[in-house]
Amino acid sequence: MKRPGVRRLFSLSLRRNRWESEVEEEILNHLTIRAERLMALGMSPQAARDEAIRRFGPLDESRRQMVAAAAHREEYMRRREAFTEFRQDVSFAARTLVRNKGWAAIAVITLALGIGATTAVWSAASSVLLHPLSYPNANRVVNVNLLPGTGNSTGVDVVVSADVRLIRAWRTESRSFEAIEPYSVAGMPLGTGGEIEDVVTTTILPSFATFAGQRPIIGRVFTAAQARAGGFAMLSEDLWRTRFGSDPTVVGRALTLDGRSVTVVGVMPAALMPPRLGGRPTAIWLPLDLARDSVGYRVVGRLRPGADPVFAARELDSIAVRSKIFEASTLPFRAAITTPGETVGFRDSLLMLAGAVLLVLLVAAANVAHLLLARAITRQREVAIRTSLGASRGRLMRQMATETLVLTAIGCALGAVLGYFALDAIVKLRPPSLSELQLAHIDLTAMGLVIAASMLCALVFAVVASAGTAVRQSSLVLRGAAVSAISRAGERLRSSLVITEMALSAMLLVGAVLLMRTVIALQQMDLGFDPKNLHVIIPSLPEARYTTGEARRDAVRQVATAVAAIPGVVDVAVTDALPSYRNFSVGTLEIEGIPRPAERTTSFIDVGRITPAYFRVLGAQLIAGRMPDSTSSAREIVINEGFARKQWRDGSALGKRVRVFYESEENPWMTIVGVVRDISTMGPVGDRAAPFLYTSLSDSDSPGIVYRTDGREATVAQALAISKATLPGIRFRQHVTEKVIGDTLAPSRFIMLLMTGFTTLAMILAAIGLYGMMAYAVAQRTREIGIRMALGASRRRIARAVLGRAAVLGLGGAALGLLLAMWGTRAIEGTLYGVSRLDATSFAIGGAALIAMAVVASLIPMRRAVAVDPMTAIRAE
Amino acid sequence: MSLPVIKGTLDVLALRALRMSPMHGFEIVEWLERAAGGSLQIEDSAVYQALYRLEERGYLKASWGVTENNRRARYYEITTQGKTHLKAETANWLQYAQVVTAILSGGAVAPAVR
Repeated sequence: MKRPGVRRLFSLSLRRNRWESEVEEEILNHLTIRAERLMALGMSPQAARDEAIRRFGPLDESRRQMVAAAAHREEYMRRREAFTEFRQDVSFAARTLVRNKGWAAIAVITLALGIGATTAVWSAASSVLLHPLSYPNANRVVNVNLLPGTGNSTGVDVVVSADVRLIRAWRTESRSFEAIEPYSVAGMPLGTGGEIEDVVTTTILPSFATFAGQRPIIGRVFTAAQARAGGFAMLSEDLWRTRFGSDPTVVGRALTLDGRSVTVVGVMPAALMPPRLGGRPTAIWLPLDLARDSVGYRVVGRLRPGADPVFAARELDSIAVRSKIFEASTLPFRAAITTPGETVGFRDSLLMLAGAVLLVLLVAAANVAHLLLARAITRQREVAIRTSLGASRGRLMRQMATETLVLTAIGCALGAVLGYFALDAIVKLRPPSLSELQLAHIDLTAMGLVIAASMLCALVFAVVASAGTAVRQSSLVLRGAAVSAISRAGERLRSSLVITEMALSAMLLVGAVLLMRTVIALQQMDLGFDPKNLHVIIPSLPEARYTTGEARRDAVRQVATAVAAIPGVVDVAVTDALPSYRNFSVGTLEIEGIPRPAERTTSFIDVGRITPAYFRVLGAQLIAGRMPDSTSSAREIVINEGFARKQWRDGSALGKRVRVFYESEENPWMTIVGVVRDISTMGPVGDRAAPFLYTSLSDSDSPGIVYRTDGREATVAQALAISKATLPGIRFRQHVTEKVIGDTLAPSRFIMLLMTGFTTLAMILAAIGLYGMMAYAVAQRTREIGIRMALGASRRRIARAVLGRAAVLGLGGAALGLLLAMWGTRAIEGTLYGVSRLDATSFAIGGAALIAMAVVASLIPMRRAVAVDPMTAIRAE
Repeated sequence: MSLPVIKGTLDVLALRALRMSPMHGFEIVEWLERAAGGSLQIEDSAVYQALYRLEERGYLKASWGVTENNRRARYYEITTQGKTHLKAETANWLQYAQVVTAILSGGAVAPAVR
């Protein structure tokens, strides 16, 4: 029997948490019972209380421990409950998705396609442009190039290699750089006799291995002493495995490289990358001796943390001035610092594709949102029933969010797999000149970003969907009355989603059409010569055997004569202005009569040494004057039309004199005796108005021959055979001009094909979105259509109404899309050729294609609408 | 003469108390006092701390109920996990006590048979 008032003896302190008050209550109970027992034994209430407390022990301490234990327990239970709920949601979501396999499949595949494409392209962009080199602290690694004062407007990758003295000065004096590593790349023949293999060699300092963060697999990096002595080499892992069978005793062995003997000191792992991106991998690493004044090198370096590249470039320039290597007071060359990613030639195209694929992802996400919205509407009955049975709105929303989450997770997983294979395919199918693309691999950061972005999109849409179709009056929904009212608001949202999808597709269409027209323009470009059946042979004349320029020219002339004798050869010329090769002088082009500009700027000046037959063999057209006469006393040249027109607008180039001025070297004046139509031997790159000087062969040090055949296959082989016979023991390089020119077009075509692929994907997705919406609208309005038909509307009117709706949506999407495209094509301006970024035809084609797609997508719903039977429709609910 | 409770043994004693049927806090303390026959200095707060500890580890589960006197009380019940733990700990303790007893009574212990 409870004694009244005993409780009052103990204070009940107020606590906030449930378990804190429970702990309090439990302690209180215990003390009460104890006190009661003691009072039953005759103690006074006060004494009983004191004794009860005494026997309990340390009150505060135990209370603290008990509350802490209770808090832990509560936390644990709460987590378990949340997890169980989540598991239930996930399994419910999975069951729901399985029950609606069709809808779920479309959503998953849509998402997977969008994510796959985006992952592939973004990974490529990230791994090629952001961190192509796997050196330590790669974010501070930069290329140092020397460029003439006017920069490089040739359109091809030309740099002036740095003088060794300059590199030495930079290394000692630069404060902005933590490391400066010179290097050079060259192809050399490895081996002797019949087993000669052409390999790529990279010459590096011993410190380069540390710079790149790599250690030899076996052996050691060459020492400074070995570098000074020369005759040592390191193998690459690939060469070691393929040619030497991973033989561990290869260290110390001697090889013949370019006719000289080198001793192997070690093997470097395949992970050691030369700073030059792309191209064939390095097979042999050779030591660089900085003390020896030799031909210039390319330079890569690592900036100190916090160093500014612009400031660093200026510092290098000032070191150059102080070192007095260049005699002129103004530098003919400036240091230019670029990140490795910036040197990638197709950087702009890659960024363009990254943007395009983002649009595809947006279309895919909009489609998924669309599907979710449609689902939400069809589930209103279910939601209403569950709400009326007591389900909390929060729980329902959480469940729908879980469903979206499961859907997105499956889509992402599938997308990641698709992306992996897509990137693999892109890398494998790349044209040879996009060699840096071989560095592309699935980049986890890029993939993570893509997945995060799409999950965010999907979740936002899901929330919007469930909120937008919130059931306010479940009773009405259960009775089926208010569905149409609710679905109309949803329809506006869905219409705007579809219009957005189509606008994005229209943007992509315009981009794709512009690229297609670019490729066509490139293909139809007037090269200024006829590449058909044109071939090139270049002998590699070693310096040891051919010491003078005249000796080399003689040798090549012999080959030319021999080749000319072949019946299948139509014409031959000796020159160093070979198709797909360019030679440059660096300096200022001075024109007689025009005062020298005070600020001397150096530039690359194309120079070609030719014989009289040259233009004839090439099929180029001399439009004024004549060929240079090598016997005349004056130095005679022919210039290109572009330059002639720019410099002498009135067409009086003939007879004028020019010369190339470099530092204090004054080259002799050259007289212009002829003007030739612009010859683009490397495709449409560079500035047509830039000067191209054709002088006589006697200046050439490394000529080759160009010849035209009658088209028979055998002739080419014969020519090579004859050349080898004429100069025994000499190696020859050869190529087919048509193929080489074609290869220069390959990148543009490749990019265009990718762009077209993505555009098609977006169009298909947008079409599915439109189809879904129209099909749903027709299904919703079946009753209305039935009534209309019963009241006399012809099938044609119904059909027109449906098509009209689709056309209106298409027009809206096209208008919005073309408007966005007018702003968006700014981004791809750099990759276009022969077509302006606001080209009306392209825009028109894009818009028309979109509207056509809209009409096609609505054909099936239209057919369904027309096939509605008025009687059944009106009777149905 | 009553002995202080050796650290760590209160837990297994509390579990033993609840082996048969659920009890609330005071009942458990009473049971322990009775079972020890007064030879152990059992502090109420120590018992409650042990109970909360055991509950946190999942050997006991507790729920609020009503006593015969119509008073609200928190009843503790042993779980399956707790039963397993009790069996294991009891065996350990008995073996340990045996060994210690043997050593202290001045003899060696026969090596354990594996």
